[in-house]
Amino acid sequence: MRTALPEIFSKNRNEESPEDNWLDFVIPPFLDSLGIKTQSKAIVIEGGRGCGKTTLLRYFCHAAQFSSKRHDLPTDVLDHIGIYWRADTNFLNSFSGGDQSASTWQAAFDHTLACEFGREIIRSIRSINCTPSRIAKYGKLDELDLSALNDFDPKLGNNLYDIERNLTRSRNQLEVWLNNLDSTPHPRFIPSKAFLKCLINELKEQLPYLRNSTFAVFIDEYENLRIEQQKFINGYLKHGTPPLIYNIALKRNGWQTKETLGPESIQEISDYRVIQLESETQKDFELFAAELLFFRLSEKRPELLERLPIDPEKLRSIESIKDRYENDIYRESVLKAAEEMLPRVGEREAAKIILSNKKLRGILENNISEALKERGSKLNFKDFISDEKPEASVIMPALLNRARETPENIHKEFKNLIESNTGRLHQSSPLINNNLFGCVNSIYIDSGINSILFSGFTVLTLIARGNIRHLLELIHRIFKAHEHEKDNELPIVPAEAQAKAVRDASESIISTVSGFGTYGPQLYSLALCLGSIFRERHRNTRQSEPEINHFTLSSGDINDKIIKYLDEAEKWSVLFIEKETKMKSTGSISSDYILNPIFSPYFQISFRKKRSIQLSTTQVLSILEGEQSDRDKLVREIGRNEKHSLYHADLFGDA
Amino acid sequence: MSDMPKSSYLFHSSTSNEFPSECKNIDIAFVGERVDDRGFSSVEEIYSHSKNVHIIKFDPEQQLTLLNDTPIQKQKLVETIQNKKRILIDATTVGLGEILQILLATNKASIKEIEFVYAEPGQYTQQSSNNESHHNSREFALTHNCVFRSVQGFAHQHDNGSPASHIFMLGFEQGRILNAFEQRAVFDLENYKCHFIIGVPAFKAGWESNSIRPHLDILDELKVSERAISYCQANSIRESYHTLWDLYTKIGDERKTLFVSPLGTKPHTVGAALFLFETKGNDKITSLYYDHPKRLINRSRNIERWHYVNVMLLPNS
Repeated sequence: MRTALPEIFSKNRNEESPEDNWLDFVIPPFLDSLGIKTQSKAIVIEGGRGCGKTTLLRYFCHAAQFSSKRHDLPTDVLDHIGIYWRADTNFLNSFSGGDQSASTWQAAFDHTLACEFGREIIRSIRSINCTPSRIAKYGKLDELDLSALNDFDPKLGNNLYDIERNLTRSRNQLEVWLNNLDSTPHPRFIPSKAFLKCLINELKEQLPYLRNSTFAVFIDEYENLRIEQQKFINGYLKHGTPPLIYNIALKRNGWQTKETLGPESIQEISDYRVIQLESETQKDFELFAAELLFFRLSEKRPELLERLPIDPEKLRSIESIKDRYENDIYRESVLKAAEEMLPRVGEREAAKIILSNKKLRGILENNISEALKERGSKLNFKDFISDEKPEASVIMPALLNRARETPENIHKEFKNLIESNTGRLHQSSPLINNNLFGCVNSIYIDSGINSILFSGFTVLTLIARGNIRHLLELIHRIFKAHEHEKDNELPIVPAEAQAKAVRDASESIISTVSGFGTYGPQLYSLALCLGSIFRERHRNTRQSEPEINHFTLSSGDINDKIIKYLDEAEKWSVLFIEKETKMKSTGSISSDYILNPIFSPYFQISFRKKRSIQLSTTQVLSILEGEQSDRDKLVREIGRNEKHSLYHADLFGDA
Repeated sequence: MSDMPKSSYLFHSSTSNEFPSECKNIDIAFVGERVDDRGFSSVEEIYSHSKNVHIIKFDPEQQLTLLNDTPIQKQKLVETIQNKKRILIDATTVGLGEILQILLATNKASIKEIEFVYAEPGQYTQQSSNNESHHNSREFALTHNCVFRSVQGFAHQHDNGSPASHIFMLGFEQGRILNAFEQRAVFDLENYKCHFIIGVPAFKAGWESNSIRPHLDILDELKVSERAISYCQANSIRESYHTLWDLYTKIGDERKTLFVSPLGTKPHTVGAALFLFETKGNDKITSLYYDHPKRLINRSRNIERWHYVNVMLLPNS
């Protein structure tokens, strides 16, 4: 049965996919440089929500690396055996109190790790031996004598299968104890460090193919564990050495403590190495995103394969990274094909559309008339519109609203443009380049029609900003809205359909912000209020500072509270924080706080990082913690403040 | 195949415009923190009609019960209620964690009857906006998000990839369920079956849309069919208890844990506490998945009506 296009892109969380993602994993260009398979100490993988941490971890773990779908295992594949663990934090968070001592809870957590990691290590051996040919090559599982493990618990059994089963049983006994603390004795607690060391030693001694193996545990969502559990894990990060190394994955700003249970803390470089995954994914994201688009199509719709510019096998091969990323012809062909499928309407073409669309043109005409009236000019809107010069026509309302321009001078410039195609309004002039996007978008906002500037594959990659989950959600919504699919042909989705779908996706994503951790409701208010302020600024008639979509902190006390909120906003990718690019005043704090561009289609604001406004810490706190009426007031005051300031000089002059 | 256990608890309920006359001559009453009009009224009335009143608080992070601001061991709580004939819980001010601790103590103290009083809010604090870009938002300022932590006695582990069922009782704020999914991070809907209970009829006509509308997106994303949605009177402890039992009878399975997240009204939360308490230790495992919300000051205004519920904790047949 043929898979419908939207379905191909609907599964956009790795948790929805099985743990074996070998065939589904598109090798990103940076994979080899991460040095995960050659690690000799702990690695900390940091990255925002949806940047692909879990997918990456799963790829490096045994279910994928030793997948039965992988026909030839390279000789060194057993050198690094990945163990994935994502704790049930609802359960582990209850490891406290209950009239039990702290040391009992520590032992219970230790026991949990022994059971969980022990079972996973055994499962990894089974993954290696998951086919008859592998058993013939590796095997020897039935010959294993693991009776040495009985020192930890005599009920564990002697062979691999009994031990796996009894570790599960021991884990279940822990649950029974936890739920009946006053009537049931705890199971015999197994100390994970000694137990896992013994298990690995026995396996390496008796299975020659594991002689050079290092087991690497990847603990996902580490930041959701209890503080004392994090300290326990930190000790493992510090002291992990081959053949057992521990790694963690967490969101940005996810560290709560770097202490261990002992007197030492863990330190970057000496104890662990950090991989900032988002910095990696943002490099060459456009090409990777296009490859992912075609890869997903090729997987579910093989009949389209010959029309696609990619070879799925190459995308799964580490050896082909250079062929893909250092080949300009390949790059161009893949990006061109993606743009053909999801064509873009840029601001210049959009200007033409505005002149040909009755409603949009009506708004332009009205805005010009209003500006002329305001300036006391007797000229007619028709004097400022020409179907031959759409770019200049569309920016007219902005120019006419600017104090330093006079309608007569603008008219003169416009006539000059029409007659000799020269002057300040020439299509490649700074006036056009700096104002066109904002002016086009502002007309769309006023019309209530989805801005057509939110179209095109490249634009999608700017909106997704390295976030795979968001990219796939955008593509899913686009194909869901696109109904005209033809057999055996690559779809071409009109820009209008894309613009609507992208807005829907953005609305859906912003509605999830209230679930982003402890301060979800506050972050939701922040996203809505900032977006509303920027939207109002985008509607500004003068467009003297078009495309405002980030802010700097201008004044006020940067106290612990505001730092906590901003850290959380960054942790959940509501804001991106970058070093400030333009210092406007001496009092500025040197960071730009950029609203995630995934929200830009919902507010119809620019997805390009252009201009900022200054907010005080008091205003930011009011947005986060104040009443809705306070936020509405800020939107009115900050968002609309330029509307009535026609005769104030432009800060940056003409452009 | 083992026989499916059945619900056994018996309920006697009444509603009134005044503090219920049944709540007089109480031997021991448990109240919580007062944050709004109805909390103050309820606690005040209880003090004047009970021989002993204790302020109970459960700290989910430390899994610790405090009685009158002092940590109390489980056995001490049992002794506190031992031999008391009439035990009243102020469901207006007391949360799920506290109710579960009291229920666990009743079991040890062989107490078979417990009473609840609940003041239904006249109005919840709503944050409406005039801004056009968020005119659709219907957020109610009830809580901050909190970490989901189970409660000892009702905690079972979920293995990623293992089959499970999960019942969410929905309230007004979508943030809580979104946070629940964010922490659980399981979207494998083939293996992880989600069911939803919505409070209909609501406290007041029209309020049902406050619990449906904020959740439309997530219900859509999870591709929830109508069959996975149940409706249950928002202000009824008895109905919510029976609705959970109905679902348990249908979807309870020895091979998978049934998680329960009471994110809705307080009567639904009390119904969930009674259900979890009664099914504790069953072969068909039930488990709590809960965020213990911190209630905001003045989260509601006025009192619409009072509810009194007497529950006979009869043993399972």
